[in-house]
Amino acid sequence: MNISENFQLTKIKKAPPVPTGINAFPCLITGKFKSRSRLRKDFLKEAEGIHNHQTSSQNLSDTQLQSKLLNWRGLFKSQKKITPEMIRESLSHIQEAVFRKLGFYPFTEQIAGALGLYRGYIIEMATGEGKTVTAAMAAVLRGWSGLPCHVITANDYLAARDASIMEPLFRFCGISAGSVTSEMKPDERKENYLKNVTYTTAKEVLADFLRDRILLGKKQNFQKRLISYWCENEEMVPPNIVQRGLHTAIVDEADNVLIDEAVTPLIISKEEPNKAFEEACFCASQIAGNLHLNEHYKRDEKFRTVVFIKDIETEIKKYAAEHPSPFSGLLFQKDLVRKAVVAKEFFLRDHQYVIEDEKIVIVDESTGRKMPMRSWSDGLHQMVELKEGLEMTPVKETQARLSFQRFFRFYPCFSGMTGTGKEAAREFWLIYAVPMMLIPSHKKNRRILHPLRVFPDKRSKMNAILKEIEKIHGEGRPILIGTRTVAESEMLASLLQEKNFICKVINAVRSEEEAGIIAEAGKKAAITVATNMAGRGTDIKISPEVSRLGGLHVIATECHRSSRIDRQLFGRSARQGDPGSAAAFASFEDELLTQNLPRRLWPVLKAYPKAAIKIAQRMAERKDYQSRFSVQKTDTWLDESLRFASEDIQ
Amino acid sequence: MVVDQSRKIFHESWYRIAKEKVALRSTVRIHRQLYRGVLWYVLYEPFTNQHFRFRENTYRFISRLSPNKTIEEIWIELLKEFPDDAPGQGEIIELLSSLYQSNMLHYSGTGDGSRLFERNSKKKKKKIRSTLLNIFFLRIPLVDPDPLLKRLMPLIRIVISKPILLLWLLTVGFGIKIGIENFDILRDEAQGFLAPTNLVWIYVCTVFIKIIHEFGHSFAVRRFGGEVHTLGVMFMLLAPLPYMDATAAWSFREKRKRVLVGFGGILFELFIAALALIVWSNVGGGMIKPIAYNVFFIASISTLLFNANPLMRFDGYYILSDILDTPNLQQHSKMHLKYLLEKYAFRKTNPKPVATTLSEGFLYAFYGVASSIYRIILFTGIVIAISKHFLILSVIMGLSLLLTMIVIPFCHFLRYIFVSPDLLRVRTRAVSSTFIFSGILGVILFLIPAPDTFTAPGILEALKYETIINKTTGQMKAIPIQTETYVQSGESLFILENPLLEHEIEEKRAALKENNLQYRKALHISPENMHPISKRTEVLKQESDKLLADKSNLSLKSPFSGIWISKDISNFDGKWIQKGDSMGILIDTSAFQFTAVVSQEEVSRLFASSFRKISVRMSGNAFTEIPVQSLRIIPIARSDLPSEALGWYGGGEIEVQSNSNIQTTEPFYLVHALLEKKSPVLYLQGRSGKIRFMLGYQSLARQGFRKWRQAMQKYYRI
Repeated sequence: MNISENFQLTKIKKAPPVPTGINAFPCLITGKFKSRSRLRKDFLKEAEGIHNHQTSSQNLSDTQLQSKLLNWRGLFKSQKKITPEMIRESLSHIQEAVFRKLGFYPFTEQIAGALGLYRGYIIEMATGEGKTVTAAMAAVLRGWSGLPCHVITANDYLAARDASIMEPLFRFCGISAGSVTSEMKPDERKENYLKNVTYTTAKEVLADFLRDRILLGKKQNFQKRLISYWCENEEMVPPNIVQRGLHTAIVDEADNVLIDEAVTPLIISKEEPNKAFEEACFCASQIAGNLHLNEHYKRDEKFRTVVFIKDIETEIKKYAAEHPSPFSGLLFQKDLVRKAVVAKEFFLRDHQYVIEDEKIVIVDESTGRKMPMRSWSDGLHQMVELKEGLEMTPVKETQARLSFQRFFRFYPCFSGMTGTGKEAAREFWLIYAVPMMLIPSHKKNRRILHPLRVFPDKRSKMNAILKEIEKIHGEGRPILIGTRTVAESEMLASLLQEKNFICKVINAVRSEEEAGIIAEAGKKAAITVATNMAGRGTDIKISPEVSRLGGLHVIATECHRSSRIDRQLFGRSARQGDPGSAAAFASFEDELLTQNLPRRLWPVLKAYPKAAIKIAQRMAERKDYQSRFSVQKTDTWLDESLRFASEDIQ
Repeated sequence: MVVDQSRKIFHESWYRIAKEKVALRSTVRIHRQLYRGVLWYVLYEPFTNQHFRFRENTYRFISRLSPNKTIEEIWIELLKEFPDDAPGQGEIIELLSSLYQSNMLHYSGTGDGSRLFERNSKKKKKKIRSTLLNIFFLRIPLVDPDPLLKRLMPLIRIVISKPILLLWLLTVGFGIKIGIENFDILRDEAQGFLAPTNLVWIYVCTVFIKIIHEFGHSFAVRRFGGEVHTLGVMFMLLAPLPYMDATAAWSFREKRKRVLVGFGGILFELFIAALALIVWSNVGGGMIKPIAYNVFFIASISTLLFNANPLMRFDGYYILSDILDTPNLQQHSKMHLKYLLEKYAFRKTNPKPVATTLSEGFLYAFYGVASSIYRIILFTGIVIAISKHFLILSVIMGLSLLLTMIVIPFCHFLRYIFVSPDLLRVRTRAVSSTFIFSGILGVILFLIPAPDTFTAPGILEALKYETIINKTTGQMKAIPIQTETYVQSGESLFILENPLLEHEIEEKRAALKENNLQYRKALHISPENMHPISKRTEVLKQESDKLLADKSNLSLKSPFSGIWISKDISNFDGKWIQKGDSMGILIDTSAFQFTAVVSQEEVSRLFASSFRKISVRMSGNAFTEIPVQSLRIIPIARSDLPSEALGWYGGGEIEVQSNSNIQTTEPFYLVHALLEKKSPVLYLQGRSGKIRFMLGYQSLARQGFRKWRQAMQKYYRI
C-alpha cells in the first residue's frame, strides 16, 4: 500500500454540523435554489445533446471505441479539473459502450440521471425506468478516477445481480467491478473492495467500515500511522483491512437507506455471557409479572412506553434481598422492570417479531421484513425472550456503533437514486447536503389512482376491501394487496381463503418464496398479499393480455406513516407506461390515526376524513423527522464530548 | 410517590469510553461543601477558574478515577458497593463529557489536537456573543492582580482581623451617630447631589470607592486562601468602573467565608462612608466638604441600594444565595417558574421539581418574579433617563435591551413551547394553552373596549367669595365669631372701638347745635347770613352722617351667609386696625366650581370631543365621584397656575419654572367645572383634586399607542 492509498484509507469528509434555528433558513433557501426545476431542463437538454451525439461514435470499431474509453480513464485519473465537455464527450462514448455490450441505447432521461448522479444529486426516477444502467454509467465516470466507488443497492441479491449484469460494460470501459454480499469471507470482500466499482448493500459497507476501524484501533489517524511506522517500525496497516476508504457512494433506494433506516445504528458487537445480568433480567421479568395494567402502570400509546403510577421500589427491594447481585440494585431494576413491562405491553408476536428456531427474529414494521441479525438492546431483547419462554441470548457488548445517517455523511462524493423522494428533499438537503432532482419518466404514466376511501372502523374497511378484490378479480386483473404488518397480511389471507380465493402471501414469515411470488404477481387473476415493501427492487411484469384488461391493481389496506411509502406501493403497478391502477383504504381505527391525532379533535376530523389522514401523515412524518434529527444531534454532541476516548472515528 | 421514570442504566455509547483510563488533572481541587444539610462536592480548576458541583454518588465515581483503572472497572465496582445509588452509564457519559469540555480531564490518548483549538475558538466566539448581549455589563479584563495581592499579604492579614473589626464597628457606629444627628442637613443636601456640576465629582468618587470595594472582595478572597487573577474594567451601563474576579470564593468550604467575601466590598465601603461623614461634619467648608459628602453618599446609600440589593446580580445576590444555601438562585428561580408552568398550566405528569421544600419553592417563585420585574423597571428607567440627554445612545441601549430582555427570551420561550423535548408529551396542551392565553390577552388588549379617559389636576374654588375689608379705623374690641365658622348674612364679624370717632361725632353734633343757634340768631339779626349758615349746616350734617355710618361700621356685618375665614383674627384683639385692611374671606358655600389645568397633550381631545361623563375626585376622597353639572373651557393658553398647590414646588404635578411657584414651563388651558351643590365630600376653597374626562370606549392597545406617540412627540419631537 503506497502512501496516497494509505491516506485515502481513513480520509473522510468532515461534514459541517446540521444547521438549526435561524441558520437553517439561508441553508434551506440555498437548497431550494440548488434543487430548482430549471436545472432539470438544463440537464435534460444536455443529455439530449449527448444522446444525439451517438452517431459520431457509431462508426468506430470496438477496439477504437475501447481505446478512446481507456484514454478517458487516463484523463479522469490524472486530471485535476474535469470539464463539462469531457463529461459530455465521455458519456457519449459510454452510451455507445452500453449499446454494444447491453444491446440498447440509454434514454435521454437515463443520461440526465447519470449526469445528476455524477454531479452529486439525489435523483428521483420512477421505478422501472432503468436506474441500474443510470447508476452504472455514473459509476464508470467515477470509477475511472481509481478512487473507491460504492454502489449501494437495496439487498444482496440486487448487488450481485447488478454487478454481474453490468460487468461487461465496466470491463469494456476499462474498469473492474465486483460485489460484496453478506455471506462473503473477509478475503473475498477485500478482493471485491479492491475493484474500481463495488456493488454492495448499506449494511455491508458500513459493517466492513466499522470492522476495519476496530482493526485499525489507535491507528485510525493517518499521521499517527505514519509516525508509528517511522519511529516504532510498526506495520502501517493491519493486513486484514478490507476497504480502501470512502470516496464515492451511489445509493439506490436512497429514501429507504438515508431516511427510513437512517438512524437505526449498525452495531458490531461480541457476545459475552454475563450470568449476573441474566439473573437480573429474570428477576425483573418476575417482578413485572406481578404488575398489572392500570393498577401499577399505565400505557403511553404515543411514546410506546409505560408510566408507573405506583411505587414499585418495595417489590424490587424484596426481590433484591432474595437475589443479591450487582444488577439487582434499585438503579438497575427500575429500568429493567420497565423494560419487562414494555416488552409485555408493546411487543407482540407477529407484529414486532416472529419466532424461528426458538429464537426471536425482529420484524421491521415498515417493511415487514425479518431482520435476523438484529436484536434489541439493553435487556429488552432478553425480556421479550423471557416473555416467550425462550432461552436468553447472551448480552452483546458493543464494539463499534454508527448510524447510516452519520456514515453516509462521511463520503466526499455522494449521490443517490430513489423512486419516491420528493417528500424527503428537505431532509436530504439539511442532513446530507445533497440537492434533489426529479427526472421525468420516459413514457407517460398510465396509472389510474382511485381516491382514498376512509371508513369509521376496521371491519367496514375490510368488507370494502374484500368487495373490491372480488370485483377486480372478476375482471381477471391481477391484484397486489399491501398491508402494514405481518399479522394483518396473514389475517387478510385467511379471510380470502374463506371466500375461496387463491392468494399468495409474502411477509416476513414466508420471505423465502419472495422473488418467485413477486414474479408471478402480474399473472392473470393472481391475488398477492404482501407487506408494504416486500420484494422491493423486483419488477412485476405483466403480459399483454393483462395489459389489455387494465394491468395490475394495487390496494393499500392502510395508509402508512409517510405518504412516500404509500407512493412506493402504488409504484408497483403501471410501470414503464403499462396500464394499471391503485386504491388506498383507511379507517379511523388505524394506528396512523390513533397514534398521531389528538383525541379531542376527532369529532371535527371525522367530518373530513381525507384531511385527517393528511394531517396524521404530516404529524407522523414530522415526528419521525424530529426523532432522526435528535439522533443526529446527540451523535454530534457525543462526538464532541467523548473526544478523550481515543478509539473514535476521526 | 412515583418512581423516577427517566433514569436509565445503559447507554448506547458506553462502549466508546468503557475501556478508557482517565483521571482528573492534577491541578483540579475538590472541596466539600454543605448546602442546607446536603453534602456537595465542588471541583475547582484554578487554571481556568471553573467550578463544578455534584452530589455524593457522583463524587464516589470521580474520586475513583485513576489512570490505572478503566471506566468500566470503576463502574462495576460502584455497582457492587452501592447497588441502589450508583450512577447510570448515561450519567457517567454526561459527567465525563462536561469534565472534558472544561478541560479538567487527563486522558492518555492525544485525541485530535485540532479539536482543542476548535473548542477554544468556539468558546471565544460564545464569550464574544455573550459579551455583546450583556453590553450593559461589558467586562474587559486588564491585569492579573495576584502578585500585588501576594505582596500585600501582611497588610491583608492586618486588615481582615478581629481588632480591625472593632475599629470598624467604632467608626461605623460613630458615623451612624453623626448621620442621625445631621439627618435633616444630609437630606437637604441630597437634592443637589445630581446637579450637573456635581456629576464629574460623582464619577471620580465612584471610581475611587469601587476600587476600594473591589479590593475589599479580593482581600477577603486572598485572606482565606483563594486567588484573584483578573482585574479589569466593567462598563456598567456604559460607565467604566473597576472590577475583580472573586469567583475563587465559590470553592470555600465554610459558608461564613463565602459570605464574608461577598460582604467584603460593602464593609470596606461603609467604613469609607463613615470616615467621609466624620470629615464632612468637622470641616467648615471649601472643597473638602462637598467631596466628603459625595463619598459618603456613594459609599453608603448607593451601595446599599445597588450592591446590597439581591434582585440584581451584584454582591447582595451572592450573599443571599450563600446565606440561604441556594447556589444558582437565579437559574433555580427560572427553572422553578418553568416547573410551575409545566405542572399547573401544561399539566405535565412528572415535571422535575427544583425546590426540595415548600419554602424553597416560595423563595424561588418570589425571587424569580421580583427580580425580573425589578430589572425591567430599572433598565427601562435608565434608558428613559439617558434618552433625555443622549437620544441615539439610548436608542442603541434600548434596542439591545429589547433584544436581550424581550426578543431573545421570547424566542427561547417559543422554542421551548414548540420544539423542546421537555414538553414532548404535553405539547398539544402546552401549545394550545399558550395560544389561548395569548388570545385572551390579545382580546383584552385589542378588542375589549376600555374607558378612554384623561385626567387633569385642579383645585376647588367657591363660585362666590368676598374679601372682607375693614371700613373704619378702630381698635379691636370684640371678636364674636371665630375663623372658619358659618355666618348668617348680617351677623357681626368683629366689633371695633374708636373713641376718637365718638369725639368727632360729639364735636360735629356740638358744631351743628352751634350752627342752629347761629341760624336762629341770623333770622333775628341779619337775615342775609341765613343762607351761608344753612349751607354749612348741610355740610356739617353730611359729615356727621358719615361719622355715624363709620360708627355703625365698627361692628362689621357679613354681607352674605357663608364661611368666614380669617386666619389671624384672634391676633388682632386690642390692636388698631386701619381702614382698608383686609380682614379675611367670606366664602359662599352654596356653589363651588372646580378649576382644572389641562395640559397641551390632551387639549385637542378636550376641545374636539363630546364627553360621556365628567367627574371630579378630591384628594383625600378618591373613592367619591362628584358629578360635574356644567363645563366651561377657556380657550386661551395660559402659563400662570390658579394655585401654587398645583405646581411642582407646591407638591403638585405640573412642572413650573425654577424661579417661580406658578409660572409653568408649558402653557396649559383652564377648565371651570361647576360641581353639584350637595355632595358627601366637604367643599373647601383651594382643595386640590382631579377632574376625569371620559370620552368613550377604546381598546387598551390603541390608548397605549396614542400615549406612546404623545410621549415620543413631547420628549424627542418625533
